[in-house]
Amino acid sequence: MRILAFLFLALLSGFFWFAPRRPYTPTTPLPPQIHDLVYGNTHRTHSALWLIALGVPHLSIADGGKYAAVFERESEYTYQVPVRNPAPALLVSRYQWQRLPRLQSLYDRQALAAYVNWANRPEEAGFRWISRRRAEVRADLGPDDMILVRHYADGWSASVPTRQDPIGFLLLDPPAPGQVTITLTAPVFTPTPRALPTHTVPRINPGGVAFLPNGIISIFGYDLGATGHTRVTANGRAAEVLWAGEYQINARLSPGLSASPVVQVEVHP
Amino acid sequence: MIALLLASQIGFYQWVGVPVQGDPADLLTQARRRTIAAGARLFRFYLGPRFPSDYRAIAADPALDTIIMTTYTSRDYGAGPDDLNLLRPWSEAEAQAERSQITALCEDLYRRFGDRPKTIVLTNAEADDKMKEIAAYTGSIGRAVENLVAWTNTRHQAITAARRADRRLRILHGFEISMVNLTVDGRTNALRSVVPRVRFDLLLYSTYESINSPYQTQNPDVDPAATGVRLKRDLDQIRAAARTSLSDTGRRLFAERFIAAGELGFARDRYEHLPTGGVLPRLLSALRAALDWGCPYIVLWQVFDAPRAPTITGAEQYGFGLVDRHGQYPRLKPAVPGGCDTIHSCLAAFPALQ
Repeated sequence: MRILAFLFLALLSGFFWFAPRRPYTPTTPLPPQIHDLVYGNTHRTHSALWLIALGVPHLSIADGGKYAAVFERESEYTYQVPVRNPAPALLVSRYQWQRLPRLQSLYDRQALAAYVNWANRPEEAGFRWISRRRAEVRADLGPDDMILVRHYADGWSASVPTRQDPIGFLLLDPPAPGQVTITLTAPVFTPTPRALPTHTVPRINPGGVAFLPNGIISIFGYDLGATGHTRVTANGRAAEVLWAGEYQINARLSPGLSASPVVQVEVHP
Repeated sequence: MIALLLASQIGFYQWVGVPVQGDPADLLTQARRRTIAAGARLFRFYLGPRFPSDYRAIAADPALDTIIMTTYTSRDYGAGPDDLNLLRPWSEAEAQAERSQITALCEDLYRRFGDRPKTIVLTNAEADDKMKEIAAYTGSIGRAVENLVAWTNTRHQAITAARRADRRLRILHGFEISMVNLTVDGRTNALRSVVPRVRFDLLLYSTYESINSPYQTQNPDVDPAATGVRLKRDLDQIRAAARTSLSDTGRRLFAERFIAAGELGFARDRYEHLPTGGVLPRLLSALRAALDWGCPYIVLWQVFDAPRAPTITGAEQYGFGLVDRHGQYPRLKPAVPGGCDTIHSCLAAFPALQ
C-alpha cells in the first residue's frame, strides 16, 4: 500500500494531523502537537501518558467519550489525570534517569511509559519565583535524587549543573546530597509552549520556514510502517528514515533537496 | 447491617476516592458514616501529610471500636511536610522524626481517648510495594530491605514505649505486607527478608495476590470458590514464616491468629462479567475463608470507588466501591439465584450465608 502525505508549512501551527482540530491557544501549557493529540478523539492511552508526563492534573473538554469523566456539567467534562503531584519541581531518581530510553515519537508508548514511571513522583522540591525571571528551588536531597523542573530546559541557567530529560524538561543535578538552595534564571523569552526536542519532532515555527536539505521532518498519519521497512521520498529524493512507527515517521531530508516551502512526501510502508 | 457479632471484625478502608456528589461532608467523613451505616465498627484510612484526614474525629466516633491508621510520619524536604522518604539510606534524622512523631501521636490518642475501649492500629501500607519503589528508584534491593527493617523497628519501639497499660485504649503496631508467593526481584519480598528481622503486634496481609487471581496464571476467570482456598493457603504460609516475629503483646492478644486480612475487594469492571461468576461469589468466598481462618480483622477495599481517570495502560481496574458516587449501592450479580445483589445487602445477610 502506498500512502501519500502532503506537508504544507502553512498548516504547521500544529502539524499535520487527521483528528478534529481546535485552534491553538497560546495560553495552554501543552505543546501544539500534544494539544492536538490530547484534544483529538483517538489515542487515549498516549494522550493520558502525555498529560501525566507534563504534570497536567485536570483537563476540561466540551466533548465526552475519549476518557472517563469525573465531573460533568452542561456538556463540559472534567477529567482527572493520575498525576501524583503536579508541582513545578520534583525529586526524581538519577539511577532511573540514566536508563531512560530516548523518546522517538509522540506515539513511542514504551519510552513514554518509562518516562512517566520515572517522572510521576510525589516527592516535591520547594519552588518559588523571586523575580520575573529568577526562581529559587530548595530541597534536601538524598544520594539518588535529582530535581525535575517542569519547564523546558532551553535558555535556562542554574547555580548547579543542569541536564535535560527526554521530553526537554530541565533537570538540576547538584554534585552532592543534602540541603541545597538553587537559583534559576529563565530565558529572556520563553516561547510558550515550545515544541518537543528536535530529536523527537521538529521545532514548531508558525512563521514558516522552508524545508531544507538535511532537515529533519516528522510525518503524522496512520498505518505508516516500521523502522527497517519504511521508505520515504521528498520531491522524489530518498530521505533517511530515522524512526518509523504506526503513527509517525522521523526522517532526514536528502542533502540534494532544494529548499522549498512545500514538499511532496511519499511513504512506502 | 453487618451482624453485631462480626461488626468489630469486618470493616472498610478508604484511600483516594470519589465521594457522593452533593454531600458537603469531606471524603473521610462520608466514608466513615457509610461504614457505620453498613453496620461495621472498623474503619481504616491514611494518616499522613499527603491527604487531609481528621484522625481525631474518626477516633472519637463512638460507633467505631477498631481504627486502623495507615500512618506515615513526615519531614520537610524543601516543599513542606511530606511522607518520610524511605528511598534514602536510613539515618538518625529519619529515626528521630519517626520516634518523636509516633510518640506524640500515641500520647495525643491516650490523652483524648484513653478511657475508651477502642483498639487503634498504627501500620504501614504494603511493605512490598514500598520495597519495589525503593529498589526501582535506587537500583538497590538491599537498601529496600534495610530501610524497611530500620523503619519498622524504630516504629515498633516508639509504640511499645508509649503504650499505657493503665488505659482502656489499646494502641497496636501493625506491619503490612502484600506478597507471599510473589517477590520484588525474583527472590526477595517483605515476608522473607523483612519480617524475620522486625517485631509487630499484628501482621496485616493485603490479600490481592491471593484473592484476585491465581498468581501463577494471572487469569481471574476461574472458579470463585477457589478464592477462599487460595487465601487460606497463603494465610497458613504467612503464619509459618512470621510467627517468631510476633511481639509478646501480639501473642497475648491474637495467639496463632495474628494476621489481619486486608484490602478484600474486586473491581466491578474486571470481575462482574466473567463467565465463572462476578464480584459477590468471590468476595463471599474470601470473607468466609478469612473468618474461618480466624483473622481478627478483615478490611474491605473500599467505601467509595477510586476516581476513574485516564489510565496509562488501559488496564487499571475500576469499581471496588461499596457505594458509587451517586450514593447508591452498585447492583451485582447474586452469588446464588435470588440472593443478595449488593455488597451492602450481602454483608447484612452474611452470617446466614455461611
